[in-house]
Amino acid sequence: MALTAPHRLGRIAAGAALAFALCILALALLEGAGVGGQLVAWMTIAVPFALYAGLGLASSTSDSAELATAGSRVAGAFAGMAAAAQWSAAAFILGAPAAPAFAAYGGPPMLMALTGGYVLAAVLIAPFLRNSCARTLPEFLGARYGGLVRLLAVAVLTVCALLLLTAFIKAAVAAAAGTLPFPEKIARAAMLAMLIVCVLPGGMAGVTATQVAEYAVLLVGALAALLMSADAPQGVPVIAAHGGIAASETVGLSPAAGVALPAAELFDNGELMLCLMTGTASLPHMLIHSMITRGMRQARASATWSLLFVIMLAMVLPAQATLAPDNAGLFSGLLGVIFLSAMLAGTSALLLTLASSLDHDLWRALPAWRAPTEAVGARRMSGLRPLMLIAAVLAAYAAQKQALEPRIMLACAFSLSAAGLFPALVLGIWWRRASAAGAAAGMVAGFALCVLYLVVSRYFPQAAIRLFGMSALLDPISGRALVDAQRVLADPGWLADVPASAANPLAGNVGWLNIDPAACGILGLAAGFATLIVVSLLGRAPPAESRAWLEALHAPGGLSGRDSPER
Amino acid sequence: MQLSNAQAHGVRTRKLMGAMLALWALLSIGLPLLAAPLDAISIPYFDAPLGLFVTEQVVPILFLVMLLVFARRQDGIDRDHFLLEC
Repeated sequence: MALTAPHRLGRIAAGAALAFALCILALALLEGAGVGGQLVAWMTIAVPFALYAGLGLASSTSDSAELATAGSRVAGAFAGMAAAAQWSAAAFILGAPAAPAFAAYGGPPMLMALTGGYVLAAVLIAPFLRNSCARTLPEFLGARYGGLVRLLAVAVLTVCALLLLTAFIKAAVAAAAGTLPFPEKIARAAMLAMLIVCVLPGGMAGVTATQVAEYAVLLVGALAALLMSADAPQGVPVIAAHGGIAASETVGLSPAAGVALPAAELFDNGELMLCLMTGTASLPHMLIHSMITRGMRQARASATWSLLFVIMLAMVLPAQATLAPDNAGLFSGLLGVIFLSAMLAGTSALLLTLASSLDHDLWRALPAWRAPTEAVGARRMSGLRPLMLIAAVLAAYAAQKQALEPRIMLACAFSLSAAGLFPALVLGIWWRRASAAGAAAGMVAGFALCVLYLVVSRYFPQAAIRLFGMSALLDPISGRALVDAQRVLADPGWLADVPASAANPLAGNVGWLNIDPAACGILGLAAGFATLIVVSLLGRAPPAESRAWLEALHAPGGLSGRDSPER
Repeated sequence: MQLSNAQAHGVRTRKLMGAMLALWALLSIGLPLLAAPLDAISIPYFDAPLGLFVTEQVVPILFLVMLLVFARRQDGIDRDHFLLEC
């Protein structure tokens, strides 16, 4: 029955890899026989996506535990594989460099930042989240701190998940419209349809099954692309060197100008790296893969497996893909399918996490709403599927309207999650004295500071300089100010530009201590930790039952028999 | 004072966590500092600075080794205190 049993997931991974490899061979033969490049590119993408749709439909279930956490019995290796597929979505948007791509790389060490987050999650958070038997991250925080913190966690989760969903859908639509000469409207509708087919019927079971298949396709596709580019006269590094620039126009990646940012520059980006690490360790859709495992031990194993799969993939992945419709063919189809599979993996987990939390922590947990639904009897109405539909359509609509670059939205989501959730999660697990009031104050302080920093620096840079004491950011390579703030402020045209338009030279280029707005999480983290600790120490210690719960949380299986009061 | 089984388990878990956290800080903050001078050396084929190679390829692999050790150690602690899951 369930697709998420270990032997089934193994067959899905092996089957998807084999099927896609055969598909590539067949298409290469067809291309050699003179079939049109457009058709070949289209087929390269259509075949794996048909497979994902089939898996999504086949995992259809009505069991609430299957929907929320795939029945919590996925083997660590496959939970790790699914997480690795999803990881690649964030890596693509941030432009993490793969081995062949170093020459074209011009950003902070993303691979290190994203893998370092796994270490934090595996050591500090993920196994305990699994051991609590909570279905969602807000439920876990609610069990530790109570209802108010649970609601705050839902708010942080919703903001971060919607930002990430919008960023991924926007990038996917741009990539699809770049590879297949699809109008953007059709690309967006197709992406939305795929997302709904993968997530709606089977919930987390469907997400896990499709993500495992997506990892297999990513790995096979990346290997094939690597082999094909080695055949080309230009040699391997060219994919990235040429592709980076082409992709920055179509997909919105960072413009890789052919300069590698050396390790010495790391500390200019150190705060962004820390935001990405803590964000990875606290984003609910990254942590959900520990909740689908069988227990603490498997949750630790899944993080290790995931890191292994991530490194394997990163070694062969073309970092930034050339997506040009004029040279359509098997190669551009491969790059397209790699990018789109990654985005599908990312969006499906996000949609599930968001809808499942809204349903579980808001729709069914609020007492005022619970009464009428409980009157119906044992069959409590679930809002999961309608909420998924609403969230997916909302994100697709936002992707059409939102002008921000995907990578900026992504970095902001990581920062906001780090500031809003990381201190409460870590201290909630490792510090007995952390109290409900402290956690609520810490979450509000960290999150609000980040939002303030983002909004003020982007939309009110004039006030930021005059009232908040911010100054122009410095260029990481030359060390000079990006803009001459005094000259811009002297211009009455820019001075009256409130809220600042995108053309305003100051918009998003001001900050405190030369901290990039996207890395605002570092300020949020500091504010969150400090507020949580101070308020907890000023108030009363948590009650004895909270201490008992925490003790049981640290013992493997200690909470398995218990039902949290909120459930 | 005699610690209960759960308390002793907690103390050892915390020690392991602290060690792992220190190692994480060393790898993600200390190593890149040490690797900075290596940027002067360029890797021939890829034409990339060696320091970048260390931070982007070597550190993730060290993270993986670290997690392998962590999982084994924690399993060992759980087993010693009769708390290992199947």
